[in-house]
Amino acid sequence: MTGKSYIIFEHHKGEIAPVSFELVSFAARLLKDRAGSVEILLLGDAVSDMAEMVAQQTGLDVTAFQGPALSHYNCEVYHHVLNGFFEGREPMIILAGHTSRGTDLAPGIAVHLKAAHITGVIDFRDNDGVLFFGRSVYGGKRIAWVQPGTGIVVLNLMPGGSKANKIKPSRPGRVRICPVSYRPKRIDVTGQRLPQHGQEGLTEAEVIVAGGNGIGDREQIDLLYRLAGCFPRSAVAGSRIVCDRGWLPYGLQVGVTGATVSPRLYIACGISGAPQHLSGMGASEFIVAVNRDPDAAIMNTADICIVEDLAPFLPILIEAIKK
Amino acid sequence: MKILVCIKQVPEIDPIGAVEPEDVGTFRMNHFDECAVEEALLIREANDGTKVAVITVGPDRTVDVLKRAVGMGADHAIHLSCDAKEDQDPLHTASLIARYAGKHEYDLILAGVMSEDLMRGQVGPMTAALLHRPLVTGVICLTVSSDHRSAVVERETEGGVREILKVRLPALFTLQTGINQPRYPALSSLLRANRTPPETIPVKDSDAPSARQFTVGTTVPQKQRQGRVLEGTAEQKAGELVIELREKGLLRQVAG
Repeated sequence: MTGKSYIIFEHHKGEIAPVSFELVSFAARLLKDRAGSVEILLLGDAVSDMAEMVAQQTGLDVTAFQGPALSHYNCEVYHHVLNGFFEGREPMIILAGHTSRGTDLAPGIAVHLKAAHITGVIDFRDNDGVLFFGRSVYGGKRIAWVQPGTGIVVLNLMPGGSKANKIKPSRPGRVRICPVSYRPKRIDVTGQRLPQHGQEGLTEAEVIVAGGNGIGDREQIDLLYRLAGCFPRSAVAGSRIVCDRGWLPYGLQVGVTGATVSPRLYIACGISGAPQHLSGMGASEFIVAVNRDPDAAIMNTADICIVEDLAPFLPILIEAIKK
Repeated sequence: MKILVCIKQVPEIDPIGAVEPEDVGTFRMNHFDECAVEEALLIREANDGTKVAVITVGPDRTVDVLKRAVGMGADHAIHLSCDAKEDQDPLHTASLIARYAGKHEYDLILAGVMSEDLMRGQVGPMTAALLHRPLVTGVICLTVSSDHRSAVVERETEGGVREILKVRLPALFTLQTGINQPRYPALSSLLRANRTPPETIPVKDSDAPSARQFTVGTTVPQKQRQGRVLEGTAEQKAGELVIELREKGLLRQVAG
């Protein structure tokens, strides 16, 4: 595989999404012994200052696409701009975050470029120049290793998984601004709806007691609250399935489509540890997992593993704390 | 309106133990796709003259999920029959679906946002790209306009923030769980599903582009942290955890 690689940056409200810098580090490791440079692609309605900043921080060249239709993420406009950009170029690897935008955007680019498309990437192996990409499957219980079968690969990297190393580039990258006048014809972004429940309670909590699929019935939610009540500055949270069942409001969801938290203590009760959940809480300082499945993926991320059924165990734990 | 729903059969992975599909004897409909079937039925209930078709790609056993979808109320089921491997290139599946859908002028194609087993989330978006249809992923709210020419959708993004979009039909949406509560199949519909087999179309590998990716194997994830497993009775484990949390200053003496 040869050619240039491209990182599609993501930003929200003027802030670069952390996954973008994780992509820079991942690309640096991936391309360490390979020829070909890396370029950053940035899209927005007024991104020239941000492009300069990114070029300084990373030392990589930045191509910034700027236009009124890029004020919000719009799949149609992004596809028009990026598929047009890659036309006539021979990209080797295109990297985006495994985020709501990245996963909306990347498959269409892969189809257009006739590229291999690998989503949810958490790792890679380089066996004598042959690349394999690791991705979580079966709720995080296994890592599947995928080998691209073409010279072009479009990757979505799972956020929070790879460290964004601090780099001190010797000189800033070059910035190129490309005006975009395209207006979408089929998709209009008309607004935004903020979550009904603020997530301040979760992001500020020092201790989070979270429930997952292993919560057998609504009554067990009460056990989570009783356990959380044993700690000051604590909060109760849930994985997506608990919120889908209506047992906790969506504002208390932790994971990719919920809050990202890093409390001092995270007690995961009956949480399987799917990558979508881990990316929301993997940075917690100390993680305790209570699960009846000793092979649950959460056990690989926990500091302390307790193999027990929640219903009998949580009352015993609450008693032990109060003693 | 004509709606096509893409559904996948996934292995029923017991929460404890078996993880490889070959270890699993039972299969069921992907939960995200159940939501897609339900949403199509809700749209049909609100829009007279709407027909709901469901489609799946795979070996004979996958007919079971088509039967379930017809049991839920789908009008028509299409089985693209092949001996596809579980972990084949999603482009293969998308190409086969796009090939069929391209001939039938659906106003709306729905799919789950991903499958529960492989979690790739590609078949829906790739089908949209192959058909040159607008795409919205992660849809949590969907309303079709009364003239059936557009839809207003809300898609869920990071932190629970929803983007609201107006999309011209025909389009393809992939749906998140929580958009609805999928119904259970009705007995009368299940009986009908058993009486009327799906439209079965045998497909060959050459009907789709050759694979651009190969899964070479799976490994067990490494432990990221110490992962000390506490031993003993439930009381002993609880006691040991309390000691550990106190030592770390995570639990103060005056709790409760």
